[in-house]
Amino acid sequence: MKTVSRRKFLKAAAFAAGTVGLAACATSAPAPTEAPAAPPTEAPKPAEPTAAPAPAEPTKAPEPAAPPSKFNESPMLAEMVKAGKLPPVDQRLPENPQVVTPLVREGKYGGTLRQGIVGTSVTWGGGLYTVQWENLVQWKPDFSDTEPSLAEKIEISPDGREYTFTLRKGIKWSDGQPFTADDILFYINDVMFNKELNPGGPGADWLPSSQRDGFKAEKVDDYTFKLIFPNPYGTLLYNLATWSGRQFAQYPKHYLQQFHKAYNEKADELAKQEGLENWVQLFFRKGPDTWGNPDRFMDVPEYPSLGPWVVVQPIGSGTTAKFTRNPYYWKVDDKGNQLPYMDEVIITAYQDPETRALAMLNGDLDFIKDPGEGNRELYFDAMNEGKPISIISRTPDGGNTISIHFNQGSKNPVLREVFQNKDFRIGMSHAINREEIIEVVFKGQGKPAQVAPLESSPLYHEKLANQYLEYDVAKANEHLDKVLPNKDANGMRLGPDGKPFSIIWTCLDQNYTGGDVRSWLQVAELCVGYFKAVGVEVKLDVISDAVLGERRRTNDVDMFIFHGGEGGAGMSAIFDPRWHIPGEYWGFFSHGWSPFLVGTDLTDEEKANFVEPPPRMAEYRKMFEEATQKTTREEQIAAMKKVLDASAEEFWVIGISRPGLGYQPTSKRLVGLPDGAIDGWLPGTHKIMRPEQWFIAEG
Amino acid sequence: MATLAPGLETTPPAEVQEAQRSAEVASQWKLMWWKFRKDKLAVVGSVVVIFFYVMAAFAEFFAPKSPEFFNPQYVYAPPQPVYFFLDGRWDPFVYGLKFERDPVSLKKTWSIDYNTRIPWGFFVKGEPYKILGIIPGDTHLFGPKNPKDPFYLMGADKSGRDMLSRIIHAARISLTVGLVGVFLSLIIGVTIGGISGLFGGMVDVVIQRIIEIVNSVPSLPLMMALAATVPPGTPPVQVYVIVTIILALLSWTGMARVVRGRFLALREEDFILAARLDGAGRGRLIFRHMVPSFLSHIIASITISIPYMILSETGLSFLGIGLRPPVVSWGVMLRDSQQIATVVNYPWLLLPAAAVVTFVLAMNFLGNGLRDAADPYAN
Repeated sequence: MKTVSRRKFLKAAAFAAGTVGLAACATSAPAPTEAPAAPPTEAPKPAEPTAAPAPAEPTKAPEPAAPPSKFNESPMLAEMVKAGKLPPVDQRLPENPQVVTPLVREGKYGGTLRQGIVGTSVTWGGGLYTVQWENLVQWKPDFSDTEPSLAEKIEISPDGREYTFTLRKGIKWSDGQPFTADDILFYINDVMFNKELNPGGPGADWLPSSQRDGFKAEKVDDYTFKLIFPNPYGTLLYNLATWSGRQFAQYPKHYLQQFHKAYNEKADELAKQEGLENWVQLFFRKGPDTWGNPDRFMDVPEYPSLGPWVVVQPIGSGTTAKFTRNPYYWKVDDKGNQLPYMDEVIITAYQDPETRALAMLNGDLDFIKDPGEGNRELYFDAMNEGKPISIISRTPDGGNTISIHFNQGSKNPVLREVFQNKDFRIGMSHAINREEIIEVVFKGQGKPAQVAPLESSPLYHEKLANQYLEYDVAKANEHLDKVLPNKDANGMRLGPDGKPFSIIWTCLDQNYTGGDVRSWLQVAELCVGYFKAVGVEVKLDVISDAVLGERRRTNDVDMFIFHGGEGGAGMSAIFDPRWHIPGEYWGFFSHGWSPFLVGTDLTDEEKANFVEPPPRMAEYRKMFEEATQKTTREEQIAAMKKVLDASAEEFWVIGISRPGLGYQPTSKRLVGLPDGAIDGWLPGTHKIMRPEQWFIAEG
Repeated sequence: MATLAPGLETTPPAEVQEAQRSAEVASQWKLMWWKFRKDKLAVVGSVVVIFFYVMAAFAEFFAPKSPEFFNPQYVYAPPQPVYFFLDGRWDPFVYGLKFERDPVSLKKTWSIDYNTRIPWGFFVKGEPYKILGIIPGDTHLFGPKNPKDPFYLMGADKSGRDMLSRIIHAARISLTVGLVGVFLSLIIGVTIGGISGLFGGMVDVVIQRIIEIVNSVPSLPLMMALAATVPPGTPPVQVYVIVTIILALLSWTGMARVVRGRFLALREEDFILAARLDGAGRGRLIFRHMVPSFLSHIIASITISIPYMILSETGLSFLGIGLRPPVVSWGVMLRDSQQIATVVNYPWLLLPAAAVVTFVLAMNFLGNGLRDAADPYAN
């Protein structure tokens, strides 16, 4: 109720004062925002007459005898419609709203989702996946393929170079303004390709460097646009369904153009008024910054959104952020109820995972992202003791629990020579007692495997997944003897240079980008023992993730332990091939080669620490590029299988085991999360569980 | 001792006389020892401290297992109850443990396996070791008679390692690594403070200003920055030693100020004047006459510094900027107890805290006693 009246007011102000005045009005708006909260409908009335009717939405229902709508809406919104503060639901929804079939059962309107985050970033703590992230195409709930979302139709030219997107006609931003091809073109032409905003060229992960020269976007009509690529681009839709595709729904032209020099000559002056140097700074402060940071949606109430909830109370320096339903949300359930079901989302920040876990156990929260494997028993115990908690299982999308990388581009020539020898990696793999690790670290869940697509994936590769798995010290020694035949008096191997052979194994301490990675260190500690048993000395060097970035820049990570996620379920290996081709950002096995294979921001001095890869590495990248150009799924699978053949042959990384089922605690009253839902970064953590159709069952 | 009361025999009994006479001629060290002996808490404290240091030095002998030894079937196993007698005969043993894992919550439910009796004893043969890397052996003070048998008197950690053995091994790092820093800061403090107080004038002014500058350097951010700039592959213990040394270079100032103050006061005292007139050189003046008179303060500050350094190792490691695994220290061990799950389900992971508390208390009692003893003439 609060927001909409505020938005109305803003709109009125905007129409009256013109776009330039908007920012100033926005700051003077709080008075009317607060007022209507206490007295029901009288207070905001005076503001109404000044509201010039927006072209797309008359303020009053035109005919009293309008046919009953086939759509239902939340009682909260119905009241506002009755009060004349909001156009009726038919006019708010697009002509062809996206129909979301409830994943558990049909919900009911109302209630507040109480979500807990760790740290102060509402976006990364988990708010992003609940309230904001929308794509042109989205994942099917089983992650098997993409389906239309903001776009209702996608046509691909036979050569895979031209994509024609048709947007749902009548989708509106949360301020009631239409979402059209102009917004998309604004994003691509005026932001991405703007030399001042992006001096280094377009920064968008859906547009790989190989596709940049010759790429263009064309508007066909208000709701249709084309993306034309220089080369065939078969995996575009996968990329658009992941994080990489976020930017298409991030740039409301009607709002952002006031900060853009090309549309507002006074943008620089506006920047000066805000104490900034130029319009570029202003644009990045008001809109998403260079890399499409979604923080604005959490911080700026007047920023128009396409998400199910919009912020009314940013977190600021406090501990809670409040979101209310977007009255223009463009999805309905299969009975024609406009989504989302829940009226509000309140996100509360906690200092550390433990205090958040206590709040969750206490019933103060409905949902948390990343509950932490270490707390699994606590939640189950609490549930069994009758606390209001229910737990569903989550299916990890990743191919493995752990990946062990030997940097084949190490700046140490001895290590480089040894690491590049496949027998060394085979020997090390056979030296690992995976069953024991599974029992100790992974609570007996999962089975030994290398890092590879899952059995359920169309890209499953038998050899890649199962080679060199058995724990066999004799076999390990046999392979290692081919590489490091000489030993000292204690049975420890000597390097090819005759000196004691020793590897420094970089391992992260407890956290990696906020996630708990204690298990990595635990696995590494066990592996050091296994490696010692076959005469290979490995010394752990445990660092915090802040130091890792520095070590990467100077190529000082010779051996690394990392997660084995991504690239497991569905087709994900083709749009996140980090374990299978050299040169990927998170492929530590090829880190020392990476500047020679892909673009780099390293200085020449830093680059001197890196080494040139053997020529076949560029071929592997080319092979993968070809796979991404295939337009049909069959061709993609066939081409990607070739990449995986090569990966199996090279045996880049050592894996431990297939991940067991994860768990997701929620409050008992929260319904709509399907058991066994896929989990991972590529499916958007909980976005794939469609938070817009979650609902509060009681209480 | 001999109180004069009117009308009473004033000559004390012979033995008292003897004591009195010996007190008059006893050296200062003897006086200190007599005074120290009387403080029961201090004596207990010193026994505990010595015990901890002996245990740390010969950790391999005292611990039943090596800190790396693990049994995959005993991850998070609770402490095994200890039995000493079987059928009335001395035959110490523990029972094996077994667990059932709930397939959904993955929670282990432990129960005692009465079918497996694990005999243990004193001076048993176990894993071979080299004490401090020199003295080889394979005898352990106590442990299972079959070295492969599970033996978890204080429970097991997340990787199925023996908590007791790890606490004993951890003492070696926790009790020693920071000592370097403590003594370094003591030496620097006494030297610079002494120079400042003895010479006075311009030297004093310059040194005092330097002290003020050093005092204003924030130590925690500096430490975090230092920890980040260490070259990759430096052994973690070495990193920590470097860090403590640098901290010592910052923390000598308090000691220096106190020493300077005492020097300024003392150099005007009559007994110093007397010594000087006797022709005592500057070195003798300082170390024979001045230092003993503020020895009590130095001892007190060392005995406070040692627990402080152990607590800061524990604290910094707990925060993740001190020592890191695979180093075994009390602080590193306590990091595993940062989770609620630990407190609720595996409280034995908190046991290293008991070791810290015991040692720090003992050290404080010892320090109290030493301080009082160092000033035997004080009443």
